[in-house]
Amino acid sequence: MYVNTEEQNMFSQGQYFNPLIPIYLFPLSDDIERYKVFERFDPTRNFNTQFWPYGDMGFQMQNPYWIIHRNLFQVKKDRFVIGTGLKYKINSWLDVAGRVRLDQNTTSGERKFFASTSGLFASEAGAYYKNTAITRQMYSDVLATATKDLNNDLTLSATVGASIMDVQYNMENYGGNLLSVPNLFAYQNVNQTQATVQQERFRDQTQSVFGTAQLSYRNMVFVDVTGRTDWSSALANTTASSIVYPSVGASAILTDLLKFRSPILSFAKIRGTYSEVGNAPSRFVSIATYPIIGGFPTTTSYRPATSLRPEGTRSVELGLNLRFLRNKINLDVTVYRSNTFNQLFNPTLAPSTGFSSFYINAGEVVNKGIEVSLGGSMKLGAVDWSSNVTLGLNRNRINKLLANYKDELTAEPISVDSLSMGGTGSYMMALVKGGSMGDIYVNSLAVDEHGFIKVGLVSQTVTANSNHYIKAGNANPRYNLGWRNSFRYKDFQLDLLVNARIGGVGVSVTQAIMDRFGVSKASADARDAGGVIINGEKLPAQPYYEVVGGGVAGVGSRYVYSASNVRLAEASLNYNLPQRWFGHAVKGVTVGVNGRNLFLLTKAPFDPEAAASTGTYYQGIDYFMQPSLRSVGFNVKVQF
Amino acid sequence: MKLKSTISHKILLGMAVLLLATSCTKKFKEYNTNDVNATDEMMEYDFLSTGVYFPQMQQNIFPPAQQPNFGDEVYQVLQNLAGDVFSGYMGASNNWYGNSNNTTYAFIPDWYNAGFARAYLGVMPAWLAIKKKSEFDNPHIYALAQILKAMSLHRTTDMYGPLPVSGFGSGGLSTSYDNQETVYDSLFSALNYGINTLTDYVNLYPGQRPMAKYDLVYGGDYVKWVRFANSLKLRLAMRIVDANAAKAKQMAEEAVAHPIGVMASNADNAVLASGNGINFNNPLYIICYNFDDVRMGANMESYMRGYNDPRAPFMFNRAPDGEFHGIRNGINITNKAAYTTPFSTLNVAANTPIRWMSAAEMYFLRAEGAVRGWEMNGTAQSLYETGIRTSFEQWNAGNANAYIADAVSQPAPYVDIAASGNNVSAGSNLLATTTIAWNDAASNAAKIEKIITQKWIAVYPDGQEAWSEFRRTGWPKVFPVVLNRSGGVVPTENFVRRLPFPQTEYQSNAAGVATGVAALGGPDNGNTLLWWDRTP
Repeated sequence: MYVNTEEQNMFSQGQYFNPLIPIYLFPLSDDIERYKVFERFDPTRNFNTQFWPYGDMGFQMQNPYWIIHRNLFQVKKDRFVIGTGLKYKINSWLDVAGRVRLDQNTTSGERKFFASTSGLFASEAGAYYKNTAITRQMYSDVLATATKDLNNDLTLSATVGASIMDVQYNMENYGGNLLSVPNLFAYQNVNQTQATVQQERFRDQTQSVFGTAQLSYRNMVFVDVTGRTDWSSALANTTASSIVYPSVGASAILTDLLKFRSPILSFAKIRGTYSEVGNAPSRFVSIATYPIIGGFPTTTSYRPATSLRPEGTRSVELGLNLRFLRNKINLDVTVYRSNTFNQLFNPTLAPSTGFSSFYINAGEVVNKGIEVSLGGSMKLGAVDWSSNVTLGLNRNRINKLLANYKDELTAEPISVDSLSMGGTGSYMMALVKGGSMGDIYVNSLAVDEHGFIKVGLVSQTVTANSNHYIKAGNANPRYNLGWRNSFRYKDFQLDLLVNARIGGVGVSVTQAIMDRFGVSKASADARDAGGVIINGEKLPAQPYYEVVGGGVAGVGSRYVYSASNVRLAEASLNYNLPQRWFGHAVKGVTVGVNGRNLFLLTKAPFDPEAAASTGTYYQGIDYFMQPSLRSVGFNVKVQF
Repeated sequence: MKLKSTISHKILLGMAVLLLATSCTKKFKEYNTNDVNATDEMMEYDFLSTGVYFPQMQQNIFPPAQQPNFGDEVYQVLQNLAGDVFSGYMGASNNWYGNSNNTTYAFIPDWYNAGFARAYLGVMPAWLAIKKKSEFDNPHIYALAQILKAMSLHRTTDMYGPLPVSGFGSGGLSTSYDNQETVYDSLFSALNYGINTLTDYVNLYPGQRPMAKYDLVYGGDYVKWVRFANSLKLRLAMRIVDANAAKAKQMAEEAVAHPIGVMASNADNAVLASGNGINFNNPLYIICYNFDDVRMGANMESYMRGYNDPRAPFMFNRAPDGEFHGIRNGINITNKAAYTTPFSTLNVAANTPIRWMSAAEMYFLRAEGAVRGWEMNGTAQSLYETGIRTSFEQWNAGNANAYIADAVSQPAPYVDIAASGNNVSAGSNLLATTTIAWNDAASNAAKIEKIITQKWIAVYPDGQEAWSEFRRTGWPKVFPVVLNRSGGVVPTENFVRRLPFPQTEYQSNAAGVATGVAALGGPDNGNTLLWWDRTP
């Protein structure tokens, strides 16, 4: 398989190179059309340069059209995947199989900043950077599988195997400001004395042996047992050299086993599993090394961890699947509970410790939840209707953080009930005993001894208590609901999916800064209303927003929004064209329109679903995030 | 068919063998080591671990700019948008956060965190690593680290006040703070250790420079380091004069009387320069020219213009209209462009070394000591005048005689060429009236104003030191902010007295920073006076 991808300027949010900042904060008295001609002839330089008389406004702003067309982030990916497998049948009940798969991905990223880009990013002549990363991933396994009917009722199938996963990564990066020729993006033109030269590489390897066995009784009762041992290179220099984890599971089709199949209850199955999973810590953290900066080694920025352990999760899951009315109605319920131990955290440390962070196995985190799916189909006259509702609910609790953890440097026991995972100034994610993963904390306004917001007698405005953090809520929803409906009438089919996410909060820095600049609806409303209501009294709007609307330097507690939302996530209408139009060569032609993310109801000034990063901790914050897209499409499907 | 299955049998067997052959975990330790970094073993080659952290210590005191790693922003937020503007040296030409930022006393957490972070994540871990390796085996190496620690932490404590010093490096996740008097005591003892140990060393091994490879300031010249340590001791002694006059006198007299003594000529000046394979830019160059974020300060313009100071063109560049134009701090800037091109840029190049301390400052410190009746090896007048001459020589500004004799010129009124609302007109009580020429008949207070005013000019561009001395003495007359966005926390007439403790400490060391607030003896804001900042 070969895949080639090219991307340009793929951004989600942030301050640098974000065209949304100059657009959202653009003065209402000016006309953005004027700036569409984003570069103009500069007689002093004899070529076209950026047109943006506003300067960076302290937000690294540039002409938004310039950002899009003259600050280029180009990524090219080349990916090859080669795999082969062989299976050898030794006898009627035993076979051996082997597989090898090689996946090689070369990513090359270039950054080209044209001359007259903000001086923060480029010299007068521009800047150029290029990095190339090659990831080579090899997976191989051998499996021996035996399947044997032990007698008329019992069947045993078992697999034993071994596998190896090997990942190698090599990245190099070179670049810097251009020295003489504007917009000539080549290494030769980079100012060599100010260039960035960097390499990164790693190799991860995991070797495993595993076995599974399944015993089934008349295809009605199944018992599964698995076991696995991983030897992972990231475990080197930790307290464990391998991770062993088992699981057991059982399921039974009750309607067959107990023979109570009826027109009302047509199918019933229960299942239950207990499983353990182990994870190696992150690579490199157990062996302290000294980064070279400016050609000389420096001290490590994280506290060396010498007694790391693998993290483990134990979970129990129970499920019930029922079908009613001759399979017309289907109910699937799963409940689960999992406990994670020795989770590897990398909390931020106070600089006064001399380290910026440390790695630690800590705590006990419990997740429990329920997932329900209820579906059915029926005829409504000439219309076939089918409908399915899903509900997902998860509760997470940090039972323990660090309890009597023995400090590796002092041998003193440490107990910690709160760990900061970092954030921006007004927003922080922290792990607190008794709280949940994903809890968001925000700083707040100063209050007086009675709990009222403190208002200055002379200044007539509020003051920030920038270091006083209060819990705003959790970035995760209380529960998710989905409702899918399909209607079929003759050759027409209509599909609708409504998703609802209830609960959870998010923080909008975008809204704060727009208020501060007086370009938001909220700030206009406050001005028209003659002020902002605080403690039941009106305060002048502008000084108020100057305090709370600083964004990362402002007051987070004023910008917390419910992340609840309901949306029409998908809708499509399809029509099968009459078969007689096509004859025998074509089996069917379907035409239709489809749309995604068509309609959204939320109180937040951003799409709460999009305000999530891919990481665990920087969740529920909107910093000039790209708005989510509504897409509408047209499709034609031809079957031969 | 038979043949095929035999082949596949063999391939399968081969794969199994391959899998088993590679199934060896011997190399796992190698895989799990980040091999672009140095390992513990390598750190012992050439005895690297004893001295290799000096570049790290030195580059975190005044963080240089290593474009394009955005390292410049560190100096910008650590010093340029703090001491450099609070001292009146420079004026900010940008309007971060809609003019609500440090310059208008609305302190930005990410900015005021920086000084603390550089000291505690940059300097102190390196100091601790050197201490562990060298304190008993190679005391001279530890002595140098002690001097650099004092250089770093006196700047840091003068920003915030109490600091975690005695508890630093003891492990744990929380570090408690010492009050500023204790911090100063520990700095004096670090300097005394450095002075005594290195003096012994240079007497035993004259001319030896074991740390030459790692020293970007003096190329390993320990005699110069002793002189530097004595000079810093004199600076710190004067700082605490209103808090502990007896100790100040003792420390100052010890420093001056030491056989190697304090800096006396510009050859003794301490500058951080590219070298030994390390290449960096002067951060002020990047901030002024790449970022376009800083210009000459309004106060500098007023003093330079009023005194017809020949040093002006060596410190600043003339604006396009041929004049020097500075920016007043704490003003409302609606359009950055109005405050960049028409105003005076700093006369600094990418490769200008970063000045740490110079001899001229020592003469002014000794002059003040002489006014206070301390034994400073010279009269106040001669030391004052030598200070001016030494500064002229440092800037290559020619003969200082006429300047020293000028008993008429006074600081000039200030005109903001972009917005007249920021002007300081003639006769305003915001303008100082002191002149240059020494007057032995004047009061001690008037003499000290003259000395501090000239020291302020000579210490440029180290705004951190100038801001500290402004807080201690009230001189020179820095123009108050026009726009005060502190919400009443820092009254304009009080000027900013300190930076708040870092937000990162509140997030991760709440118990520790609480001890800091207690030791501060007032609310943790920009209006609380430091221990040494008091009226005698």
